[in-house]
Amino acid sequence: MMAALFLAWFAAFVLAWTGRRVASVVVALVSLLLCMAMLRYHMSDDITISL
Amino acid sequence: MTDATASTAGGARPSWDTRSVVQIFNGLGALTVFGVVFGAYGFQFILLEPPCPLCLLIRLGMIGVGFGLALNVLFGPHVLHYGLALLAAMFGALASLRQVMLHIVPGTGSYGDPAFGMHLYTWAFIVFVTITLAIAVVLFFQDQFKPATGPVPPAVRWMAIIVMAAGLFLAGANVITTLLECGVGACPDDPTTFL
Repeated sequence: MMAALFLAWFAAFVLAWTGRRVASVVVALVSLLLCMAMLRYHMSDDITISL
Repeated sequence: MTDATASTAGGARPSWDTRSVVQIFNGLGALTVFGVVFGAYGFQFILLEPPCPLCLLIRLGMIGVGFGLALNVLFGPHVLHYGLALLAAMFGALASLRQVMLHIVPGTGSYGDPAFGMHLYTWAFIVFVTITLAIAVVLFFQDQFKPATGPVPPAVRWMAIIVMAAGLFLAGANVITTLLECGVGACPDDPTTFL
């Protein structure tokens, strides 16, 4: 799952470099939202999954 | 074709203005955060310390900040790009602060070896706060948002290429190494092996 987040940022870079500014920003924002969801998962009360 | 990679048109000489200087400054900022991720790779492969889940989230925050700043170099300064960089910095600061808090109680141990007296997640928090402050200061220079008056200086064009190449490499390399470490499921809580 974490690899998919890096892949999303990779896609954002590709879109930006090919001139698709708005699309790259949209992909980056979606990726950031997914990162927040992943952070929430790792901020569980069970701290062992955060270490 | 992007703002920074557009070729010089009509033979006009490139001129340095606030916009160009801020673009270079943004490029240096992006290279700084990418340098931190390169440093984390050093820890991973030289000191053989596999990254923990929160460490990977901090890397994602760094790449996000670098992406926002790289857009400023590539397309010219824009509030949308700064907003993206600030959101990513907030996210990264949250992730790194979470890890600091996990180990802040004496006797709870730490993750990994310290570098220059502090652990990587503590350094990461300092970097995210510093980037936020730097962006706040740069936003004072309103002339950067004016349209470009002449051709983009070659230094800006080269900075855009370098920053985008570094970001692409880091994001792509992390896809592979994270996939090898974690697979397609959740990352291990306390990883001991990678690759």
